[in-house]
Amino acid sequence: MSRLLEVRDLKTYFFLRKGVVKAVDGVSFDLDKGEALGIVGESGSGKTVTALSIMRLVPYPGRIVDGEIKFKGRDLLSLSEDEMRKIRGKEISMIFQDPHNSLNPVYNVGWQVGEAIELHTEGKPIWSRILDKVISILRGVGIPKVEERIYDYPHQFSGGQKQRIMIGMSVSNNPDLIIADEPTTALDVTIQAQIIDLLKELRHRYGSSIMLITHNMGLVAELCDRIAVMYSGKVVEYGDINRIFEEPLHPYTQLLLECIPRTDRDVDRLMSIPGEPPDPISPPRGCRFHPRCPYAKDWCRRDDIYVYRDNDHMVSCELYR
Amino acid sequence: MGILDLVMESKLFLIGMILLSMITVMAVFADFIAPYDPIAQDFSPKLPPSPEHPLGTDELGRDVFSRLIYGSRITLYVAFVSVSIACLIGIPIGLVAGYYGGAVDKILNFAIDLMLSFPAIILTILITGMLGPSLTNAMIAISIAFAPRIARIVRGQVLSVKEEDYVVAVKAMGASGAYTMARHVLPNSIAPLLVQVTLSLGTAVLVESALAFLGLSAQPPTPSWGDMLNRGRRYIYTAPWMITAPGIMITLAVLAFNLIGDGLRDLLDPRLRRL
Repeated sequence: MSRLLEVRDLKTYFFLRKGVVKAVDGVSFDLDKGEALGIVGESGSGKTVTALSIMRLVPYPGRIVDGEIKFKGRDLLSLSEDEMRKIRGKEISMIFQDPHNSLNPVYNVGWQVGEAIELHTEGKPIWSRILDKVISILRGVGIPKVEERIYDYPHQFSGGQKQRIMIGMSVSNNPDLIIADEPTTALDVTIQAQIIDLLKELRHRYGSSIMLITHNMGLVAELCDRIAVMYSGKVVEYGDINRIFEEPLHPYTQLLLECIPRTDRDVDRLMSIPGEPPDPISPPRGCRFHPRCPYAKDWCRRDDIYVYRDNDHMVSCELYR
Repeated sequence: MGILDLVMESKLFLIGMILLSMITVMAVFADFIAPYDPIAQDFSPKLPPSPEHPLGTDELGRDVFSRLIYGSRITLYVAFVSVSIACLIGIPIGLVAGYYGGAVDKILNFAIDLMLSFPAIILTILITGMLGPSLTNAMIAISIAFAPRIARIVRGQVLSVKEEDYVVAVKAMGASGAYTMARHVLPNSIAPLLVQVTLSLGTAVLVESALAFLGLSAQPPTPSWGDMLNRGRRYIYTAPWMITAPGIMITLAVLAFNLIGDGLRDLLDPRLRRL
């Protein structure tokens, strides 16, 4: 498989008056063509900012400070804004967390899906042709009675349907990479499975790679080939999904997996990881997880945390030194 | 409930609309409604109201009723043209300031604050004083005085709308900044703007009348309510009809726009829309 996306030592900081928030602080991972990567972590661990950095849409006062993002061999960070705009939506598309708010309330749905196509149409757009494409796309994501419903407005659709429409928009230009930022968080559990199934199906139909951002380990297991576990702006463990689920090496990954409620074990209470996520402005020295880590030792506070590598597997933890 | 039912329920909005329609009809069909030529000095001066002259005549022997009818033209013309120009200047400034933020916003916002520190009437007198008294200059002055008010409203709206997911989503689809602003940010910022524009129309009527009163707007013999007021002031004891009629008309016109503006604010507020 050929490399599609290579992120190396990405650093995206937010410069606030109170101090610098190192939202993404030296993140590296790879994504092959047709592969699905899960990025997992708690809220505030830098998952979304990583995604926005790849799109080069980091909001003010954030800035990509350092690092390299190579997409199909091109360095995205050195492209001009115009060149980047041609990539957004065409080669890399993004699905957002809240479908209720991702569609513009003042336009009908057909127009908005058509807009996604039109923005990447060379020359003068032919609306009848775009309309045909809109209908086939929306039919492809399972919207019933498409011919009538394209004239409906976003508020006339359910949350699940809106997310289907968003997914339809994201695949409308056959992108190489779809970034799905917690696509099911705002939806009912029953709808969640349908959306993930849809993503799976489209992945096979279009051959796109997927970057799934979530805090739900179950969804990752469903869809992904590889996983990157993020904690406080850093990737703490990265590797093949089966390997990590069978034998998680980083204590944080172990605890995350233990937090999944299981029916095959008799437990009275839901597991949780004690402690709070670190303060983003002044995170702990050394391994940022050490204040909450059950195996923490004095040397976990050192600045150069040991990185254990075994082929594609990467763990950043002193336990394996 | 449909939008029409809501309009019917909002009595004040309806009254405002009826008043405005009446003034508009007056302005459009002035040639048919007015019984006499508004600038012809055909009659004895200061005739009291009578069947021939429902509102009497002024000190130069012109029919007050006819002048009142024609005066509505100037009033509406100035209000609509100058507020439209104010929008053409103010909306882009507000959009750019709110959307791009940072240093651009700081500079534009400073300019807006500077302009807003003068009351509209002082600023317009200042500008017409510099440019010379005429109808065109009065309109320019009103436009300049109102543009920062429009810009401020748009900027505030844009600041909140640009954070919406659908704006980020459109950018993630590859839309440019200008496209996103025009197609997605502006249409979602329009509701409060519409209210402000309507209320501005009312204020523009008032400011124009004030300028005319001071002789800084349309020059005689063009009939204008403000100018009629100024003339009537001198004869307030001997011919009170000369000042009463234009005074009432100015009040009604301002009231119409304010009622419509307030009504729109209620109608466009989704919290009040009981669906």
